[in-house]
Amino acid sequence: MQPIVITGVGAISSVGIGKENFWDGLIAGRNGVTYIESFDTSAYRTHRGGEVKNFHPLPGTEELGRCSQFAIHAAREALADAGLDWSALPAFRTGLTLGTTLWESPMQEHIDDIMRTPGFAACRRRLVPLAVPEAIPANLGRALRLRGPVNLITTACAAGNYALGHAASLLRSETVDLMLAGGSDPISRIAYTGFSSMMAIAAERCQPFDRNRKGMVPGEGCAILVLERYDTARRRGAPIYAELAGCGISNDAHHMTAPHPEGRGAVRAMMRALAAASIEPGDVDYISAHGTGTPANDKTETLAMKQVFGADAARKPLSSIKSMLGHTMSAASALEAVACVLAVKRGVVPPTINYEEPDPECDLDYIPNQARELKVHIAVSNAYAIGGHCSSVVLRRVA
Amino acid sequence: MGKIVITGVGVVSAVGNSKQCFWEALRNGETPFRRITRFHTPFHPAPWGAEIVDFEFPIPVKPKQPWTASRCIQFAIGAAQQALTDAGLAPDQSNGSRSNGTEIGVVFGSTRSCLDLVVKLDQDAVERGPRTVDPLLFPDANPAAPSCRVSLHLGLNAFNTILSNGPTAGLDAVSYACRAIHDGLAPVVLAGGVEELTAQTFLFRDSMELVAEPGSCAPFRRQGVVLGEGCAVLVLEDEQHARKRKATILAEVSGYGTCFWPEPAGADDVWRAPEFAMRYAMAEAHISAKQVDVVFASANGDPCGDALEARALECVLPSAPHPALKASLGETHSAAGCLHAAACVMAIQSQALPPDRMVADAAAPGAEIPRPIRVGLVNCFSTSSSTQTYSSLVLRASELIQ
Repeated sequence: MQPIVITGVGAISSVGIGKENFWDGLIAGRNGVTYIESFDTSAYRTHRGGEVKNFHPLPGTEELGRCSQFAIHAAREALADAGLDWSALPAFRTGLTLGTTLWESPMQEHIDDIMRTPGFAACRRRLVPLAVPEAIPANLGRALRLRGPVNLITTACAAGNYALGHAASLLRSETVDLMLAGGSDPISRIAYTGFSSMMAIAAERCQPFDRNRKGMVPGEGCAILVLERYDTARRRGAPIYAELAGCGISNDAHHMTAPHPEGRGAVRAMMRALAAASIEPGDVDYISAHGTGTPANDKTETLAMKQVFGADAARKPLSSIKSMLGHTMSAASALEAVACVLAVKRGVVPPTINYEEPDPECDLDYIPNQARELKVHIAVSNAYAIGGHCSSVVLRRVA
Repeated sequence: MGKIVITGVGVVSAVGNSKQCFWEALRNGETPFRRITRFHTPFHPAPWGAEIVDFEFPIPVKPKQPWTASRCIQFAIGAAQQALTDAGLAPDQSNGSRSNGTEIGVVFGSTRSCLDLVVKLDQDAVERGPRTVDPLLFPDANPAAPSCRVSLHLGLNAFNTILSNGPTAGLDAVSYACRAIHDGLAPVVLAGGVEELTAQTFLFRDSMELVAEPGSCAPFRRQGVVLGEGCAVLVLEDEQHARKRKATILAEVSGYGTCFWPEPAGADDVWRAPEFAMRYAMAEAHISAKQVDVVFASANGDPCGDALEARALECVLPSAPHPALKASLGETHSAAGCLHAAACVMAIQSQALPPDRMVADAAAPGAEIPRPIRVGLVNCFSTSSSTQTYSSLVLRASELIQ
């Protein structure tokens, strides 16, 4: 079976727009969490988020929702990065699998705001079709003139990893030759209200695995990756970042919001991803943690790590870039996959910032505060979500 | 590569809440449309809809569990339970276990589900302040909620995925399930589609498209859409796994084709898109046009979409009958694919067809069918201004499986 490889990446995040700015931000340990400007937070308990400042939508996408604008921007970057001309893709052989948690929620809010005003009738036909979930992959499909399979996966905050897994599966089936996969989510009043209602938001900063961690911080962003089979990539002389060697998904089926206390789903997802890649746990060099900064997630994820890696767990470096970006929802796992392939390529792993006091229940090597030089042959990236979704992907260096 | 078979079907629909009632009503060409009064639709005062009114919820509604009141979640759990029972995979109640030991995955097509909860959450935050918002609302304010609740309620933990592709999502979920079985994620996968009627559903539709009276919904023949709701769940299974446990095989999933079309449905040559989807699905199933015994059409009374499909059918499958079930079920969006696939399974099982409404002098209900039904094609096309996606699925009688 042909390996599936990643040949291009595009990223939008609160620490930098574009692959290089994103990477520089991560390696510098830059904090992307700031006061939110896109909506009024005065009625909320907290006011900060990983908001992307100074994003300029591409010409022709101004009317679209921010989720689509992000995705089109990142997809164009990823295709150029892969050495492909976006206007001349093999249309029927190119597909898209995008993840999202709350789709065009800022546009939905605008509709909610004006729904009862007399002016709504006039703009309803323009606005509503653009605000529904299925419009997002379609906007991307239209912008890139795709004719292959176009999918939107809504497994909440793990959707980026699910998108990567589905894209790889379609490539293996040979119904397509090129896949765009990733996740996109804008920060919004709806997202902030939701996480706030669950008392999940930390007021100041995101401190994954720290003893004094106070919760997650909502963020926004997008990452798109270009995936191909190894033979097609080699044939066209494409640059190869890494192999998407395995993807494992699972569901806790335990509780709508709380992880299984022993991390049952998380362990299964990691084991499945490693098995799919024919890799022993001992061979893993770096783990990009889900690491949201909530008391429950970080403790459970640490427990899951110990079950998968056994006595080795303490020696396996892992970090959470959510400490810098906040939780970018479905974009999180896509951005983390980009961080992993860049780490594989460049021999540096990003830190967990805001890490001050070790927690006896989280006693692994979380790469505190400083990026670290590390030869990464194999990286694992975890993502979990509301609904019990658990996922892991394995990224492997290509010789 | 191993074959994927269907071993169970569950249906919650406006025409019936079991696969037998559903099929009988479709065969009789019932149109149970009613005036929607459950919620207010500002742009279409009391429109006609294919609303589910007599579904008995399998779970009690509890005020402290707001999700129990969500209709789409109830439809999904109801249909999934039926499907598991139909497949002989219902949990063993005697030992109190939630599962019967089989690894089962779940994938749903679901796009507008629970959108009303999102709007409620947002409006509560604006009108009464974000600190008053019920913390139990957010986890279910998402199209993923019905699928997640199915996994949670039935203890199905192999995996859970949701596709929010719009009207093709149900068929796309079936294809996803097949790929998941091939990839070894689980030997059994529930593939479903679910959608409910809410004020949001109607916000999207222009009043001119909606029918004036129930009898006037006649896809392919007359303009006018009726919106509907429902859920169908298919139990998809690795053939070897099904044979080993001596399950009844209802049909085989043998081909799937899908494409996106960047041009709007009204542009030139867009009928090539449904043509591509149908031909691709047939090629994957290794069947010729002559072998297709019935097409369950996507047509819903939208003149543009109906014309595209009619043109593509004329080109690809001019002689197969093509009943348009949306005349009975309404346009159920993400649920349509699985509802139609469930009908296709029933057609293969019962060797009967619903009336073909494209032909004015359609055969009366119960009329003899011209030839045995061994191969059925199911179409799901989206020609809205949001997305233009085209998916087709081929199902085949199990006795043809070698």
